[in-house]
Order: sequence, then C-alpha cells, then structure tokens
Amino acid sequence: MADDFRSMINVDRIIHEPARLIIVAILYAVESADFLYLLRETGLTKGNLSSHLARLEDASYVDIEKTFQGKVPRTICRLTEDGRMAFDDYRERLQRAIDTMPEEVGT
Amino acid sequence: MMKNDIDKVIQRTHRYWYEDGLNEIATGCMFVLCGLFLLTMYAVPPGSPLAPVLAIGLVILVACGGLPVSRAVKAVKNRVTYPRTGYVSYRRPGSSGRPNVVWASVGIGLAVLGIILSKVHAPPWLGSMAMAQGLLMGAILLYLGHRLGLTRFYGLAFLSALIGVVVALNGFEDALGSAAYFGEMGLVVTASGLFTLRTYLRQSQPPVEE
Repeated sequence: MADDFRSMINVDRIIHEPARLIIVAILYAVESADFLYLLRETGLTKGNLSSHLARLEDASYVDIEKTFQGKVPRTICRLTEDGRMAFDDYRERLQRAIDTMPEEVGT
Repeated sequence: MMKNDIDKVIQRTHRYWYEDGLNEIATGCMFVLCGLFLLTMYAVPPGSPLAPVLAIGLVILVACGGLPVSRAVKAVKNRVTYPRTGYVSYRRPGSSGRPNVVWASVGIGLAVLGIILSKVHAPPWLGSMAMAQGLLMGAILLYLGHRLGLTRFYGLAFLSALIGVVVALNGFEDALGSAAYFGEMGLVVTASGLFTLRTYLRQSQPPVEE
C-alpha cells in the first residue's frame, strides 16, 4: 500500500501541473486541436497557454505546427507518442494511489 | 485534479463534435431521405422497373451516404464552428476503441435476434420493423448520451422509441412503417440539431483580433 502512495512522489511534474494536465487530457482525447480550442477549454490567457505549451513541447510531449486555414493562421497542437505514454503512466499512478485510499479518512 | 475530473475533460472534448448540432442536422436529413426512398418504394407497384433501381439506390444511400455527409459536416464546421470555438481533429478508433465496437456489434446482433424471435412468437404489432428500428436507434442514442454526457440524446432516445411504438400500433406494413419511422425521426433529429445550432451561435462569437 505504501509503495502505491510513494509512486505518486515520482509522478511526472510536467504533467502534474493542473493547467498542463488539462491541456494534455484534452490532447489525449483527440488527434489534434488548435490554440483557440485549448484557450477556450482551459480558460487560460494566451500568454499562459503559450508558456505551458512551450514547456510541454520542450519535454517532447506536444508537437506544435503553424498552418493556415485560408488566410487565417492556425496553431495545431498534438500529443506525441511520448506524451501519450507519460499521460497513461500518470493516470495509472493516480488510479493506484486512489485505490489504496481508505473509504472514509479519519474514521 | 482527480481522475474523475480528467475523465470529464476527455468526455467534454469528445462531446465538442456534437456541440453545434450540425451532425444531427445532417443525420436527420439522411433519415428523411431514407424515409422518402422507402415511401417511394412502397408507392411503386410491384414488378415496376423502378423498384430495383430504388432498392439499389437505398442500399447505396445507407452504405455510402455517411462519407459525403461527414465531409459536408466538416466543411460547414470549417466555416461556422472552428473560427468561433476552435478546431479539433478526432482520432480514428484504434485498438483501445475495439472493445466498444465488439460490444456494440454484440448488442446489435442481439437486437436483430430479438426482432426475428418477436416476429415468430409475438403479435404482429410487436414484431413491427418500425418498433425494432425505434428501439434499436433509441438504444444507440442512450449509449451515446451516456458516453458523451449529452442529456438531449436521452430525449431523442425516448422519442425514437415512442415513434417506433406509435407507428407499430398503427399497424402499417413494414415498408410503410419504416418510411414513417425514418421520416418522423429524421424531422425530430433535424429539429433538435437546428435548435442546438441556434443556441450554439447565440452563445459563441468569433474571437476579436487584437
């Protein structure tokens, strides 16, 4: 039981940050999503979202591609295979820790 | 952020495809078209050279109609939805999605078996094709509503079952009953899609360039 809790200490800190966790969870569910969609779904400011995406790109968890839809620029983000594996691992650790928690704490 | 919240984020992302109602409008129009085909087939006298043409046309419509409809929905989304609330491209179901496909196939297989058995042992109205179509479509809509957290799909599921039962109780022949079911259900789904689209357009505006 203690090992399952301890595994949370080694959790991926890049994904563990709440804003980045939402971004990764959204991208996990799709092939790709653009900056506008992520902006609307996360409720972050443009600057904040850019900085979190840059952090995820540095960790090779997210691919960012700048394209055009007609004359309108579109920034497409997609989770890499590494990002997908890291998110799977994060969810697994979280699930293990939740499963070992007592039903009612403090009773 | 707990696992439940993560699951909700993933569910909401899947739900985005249905947020503008365009998919329902397209599906509803397809249903109406199927209903019109079935009605024309019913109206054509037996032995008419038009009958096999209509039958082949219906098969082509059901088998291949999904692709142009999906492309049309994507094209409209490119102009209406994505500039307002963002672009999303969905993954094709891979190995993780296969168990769902297997369960759905088992469910449809059981439903077909139920239809066959009900035709053998039950009173005629219970074995009606329209009733089976209504219940089957209702089950699919219930599953989608539960999986995506879309409450309006529960309403559509109820209406599908209701239309199927009402058409069955009227004692129409199978072809006419199916035509009535698809026509009415198509109008209901289209109306639901139009209402959803109106709500979506009212609630979302394209972002203002800075």
